[in-house]
Amino acid sequence: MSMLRTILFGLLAAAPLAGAAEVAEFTLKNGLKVLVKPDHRAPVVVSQVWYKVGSSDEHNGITGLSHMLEHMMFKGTDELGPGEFSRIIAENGGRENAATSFDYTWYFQTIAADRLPLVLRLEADRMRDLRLNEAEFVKERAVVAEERRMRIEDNPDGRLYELLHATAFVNNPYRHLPIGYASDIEHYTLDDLRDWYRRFYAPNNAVLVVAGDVEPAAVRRLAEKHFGPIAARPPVPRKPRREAPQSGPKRVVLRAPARTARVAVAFKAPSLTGAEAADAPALAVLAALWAGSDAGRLRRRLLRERPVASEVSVDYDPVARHDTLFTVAAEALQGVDAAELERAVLEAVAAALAEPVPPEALARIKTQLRAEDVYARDSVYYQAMLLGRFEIVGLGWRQWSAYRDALEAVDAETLRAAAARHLVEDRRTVAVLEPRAVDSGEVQR
Amino acid sequence: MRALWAGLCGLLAAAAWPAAAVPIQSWEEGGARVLFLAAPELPMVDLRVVFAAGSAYDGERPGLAWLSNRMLGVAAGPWDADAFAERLDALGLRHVAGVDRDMAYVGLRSLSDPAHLGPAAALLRTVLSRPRLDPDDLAREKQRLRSQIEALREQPDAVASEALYRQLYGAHPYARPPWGEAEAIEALDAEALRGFLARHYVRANAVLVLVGDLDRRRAESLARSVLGALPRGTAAPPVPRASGACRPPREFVSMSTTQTHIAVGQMIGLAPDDPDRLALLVANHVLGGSGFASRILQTLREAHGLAYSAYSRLEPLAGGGAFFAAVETRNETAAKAAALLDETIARFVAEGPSEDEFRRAVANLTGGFALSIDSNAELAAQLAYIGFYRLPLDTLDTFVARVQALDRAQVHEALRRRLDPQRLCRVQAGGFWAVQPAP
Repeated sequence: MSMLRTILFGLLAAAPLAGAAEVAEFTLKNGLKVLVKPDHRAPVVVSQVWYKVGSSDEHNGITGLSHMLEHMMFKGTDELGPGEFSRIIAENGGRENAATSFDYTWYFQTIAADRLPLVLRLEADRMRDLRLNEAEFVKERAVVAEERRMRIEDNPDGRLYELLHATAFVNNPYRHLPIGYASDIEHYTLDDLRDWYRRFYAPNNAVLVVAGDVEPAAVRRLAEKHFGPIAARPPVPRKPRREAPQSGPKRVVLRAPARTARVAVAFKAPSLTGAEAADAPALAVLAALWAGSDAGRLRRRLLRERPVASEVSVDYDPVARHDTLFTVAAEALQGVDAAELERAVLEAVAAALAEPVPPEALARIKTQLRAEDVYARDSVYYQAMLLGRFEIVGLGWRQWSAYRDALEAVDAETLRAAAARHLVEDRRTVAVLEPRAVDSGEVQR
Repeated sequence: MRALWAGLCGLLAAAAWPAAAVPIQSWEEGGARVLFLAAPELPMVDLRVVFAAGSAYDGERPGLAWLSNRMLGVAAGPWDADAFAERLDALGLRHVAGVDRDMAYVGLRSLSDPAHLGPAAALLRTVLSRPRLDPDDLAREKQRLRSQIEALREQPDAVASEALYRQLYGAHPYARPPWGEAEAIEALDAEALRGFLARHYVRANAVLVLVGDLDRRRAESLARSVLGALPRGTAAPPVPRASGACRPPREFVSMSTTQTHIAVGQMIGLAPDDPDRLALLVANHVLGGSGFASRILQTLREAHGLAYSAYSRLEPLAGGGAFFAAVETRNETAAKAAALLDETIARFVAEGPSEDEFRRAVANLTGGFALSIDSNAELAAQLAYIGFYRLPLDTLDTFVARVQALDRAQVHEALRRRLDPQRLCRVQAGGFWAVQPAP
């Protein structure tokens, strides 16, 4: 998930823990926060180290640097050679990876529970002693350039998403995506990375989440042993970088090789960390009411009543350090052009805003929420991820249940009021993909 | 995301795992097989009905299996599309469905208390026994499917993969993608779908999987309820054996992209119950099935910086599955990456895994067994696979021992016998043509 935040939004971001009491929390002397969530269903443990650094910490010229550093974190330390981290985890039956988002970078392993000491030793090692080597860096920079080509240059959805963010935001750092721009990727230097690593990779800028077949006391001993000796660094000063007010609609067109038209309609929307956090639960419920299931208002309208789209979704993730976007996205049916799709989506949004939400629809969404509370517990990884996200954006994992309660409390009036404040034309950006012929299909044998 | 986890398909495995860690129970319900695993820790149940109704059974109508399955998720019995979607939400249900080349499945995830599970079972029974196929719904889903197929033409990986299957399988039904072909979908009508459902969505052709907070008695009653209204019918005939045509051996598709997707493959007749299955699993693990631990990613990404994504995989299928490998690189380096991929595969087949590679692959597969059965979702998928392909019920329990019983020579011998680098089919799809002429 270097960039497309598609896996967590709306209601999914809200599914709570079985019970707050089951989470153990402690902080080492060097500032490393540790959260432990026991789940003894299988002899497996999930370990995640979260760093509070992501693309929203970057400025123009170094966009994507957090993501580049994520790649370099596998390239060796004073103790380990390049790739050795992954080799050791694999040899021990583990799976591992890492990802960079707007607000955080996280490193994760799933492994047999008795290998937790090994995992924590390795994570502590690369928190302290990353070795940044020129030859490895040059190769990996080329890999990241390939990643960008795959995710953005050759992907119409990726290009539209990048353009949407660049257009909607003026000075909010979500203006650029975690993957960064091609020109910036090309010009990273090893010094850029050294500086980034020194500034952000410190115990007092990180959260360790361990979930699965473990006991909090044992995790505490291991965390103290491996991470305890790492020195804290000066705290990173963060500026608010609050978006300048928007006071009129924006519209942008992308003409790119594609087979079908796409439209994204985005509104500036609050995060749970901002001044208007109180409106976030209502907007999350509204996202579910619009496209959380096939019964969603926009899906019914645009897929069934007046079919213009092959797919319709709403993306809203308020677990973020800065205010964000509430985005309706649609992909056209064949034979429907960009103009018709845009018109239909805007009309459907306007109609959904004008109609009162039927009480049965709200009741159904809350039933789904409660069921999801249970279903979410099936994935230990996911449980750990929810804790980590709430913690690393500065809310604290305990806010999770408060947020969950707030979702439950949303009623027709709070929905109406939140929509009236945020989902208005003056805060809107429309991005349209007009397909250009794909020079393709010519087959040679 | 730093890596694409492409490899680890099908069965996985474990270290110190007690005997019968996964005590699957099985019985017959009116001609259908039932596989049940009690998982009382969470108050939920996964129900999944699997049929021999994959795209291999499309006959002359590509897309028939896919669209038939899709329509079961749209409306049923007394509920039109709106009412059906609302009913799922009102009961807190998650609907799941899917089609591949061999099988199709429909299922639900439900809370396990009787107030939810009872209506959920009744709903699934209605879905299976009273499909609606309303004309508007069918016309719309056909158009959606055609649009989605069209959108796949934008992606070099999808284009290359589709071309490669055609080369590998020739006139065999596996040659076509499970979702069919845009033009043929237009011709599908309610009668064709009804016929397909009546023939394939029957008890004698079904495996029901139940995983969750149930005891045997409740599971039996649930099975009766879900399957009770389905006709008994007859089992579908086995999928014909594929011959491995590889015609033409090379294909180039030009697209307007900055990257080129290079895909190679060989039909190796790999079956889910293949005697070489585990040996080939270990071999593929070393070659390209285990991300950073594998030779393909090490060579193309770590050593040469040519790609973000590079892997190999095995796809066991009832009628004979294939080996695949792929890499995506910028157009300028397409020829170099293609040559390196070929060379990596050829060298590996010639020399086999080193002692060290072999040891590490076995350690990963056995040490990671618990990971493949650590959630109800994983377990339901495993049971569906075991049930559908009639693998032994102790497949999961014996996996570690069976992997540990392999030796390096045996793995290399199986690899050399099954995979012939001289007979690989090759496709390139992307913008390579703009920087160099196709050979």
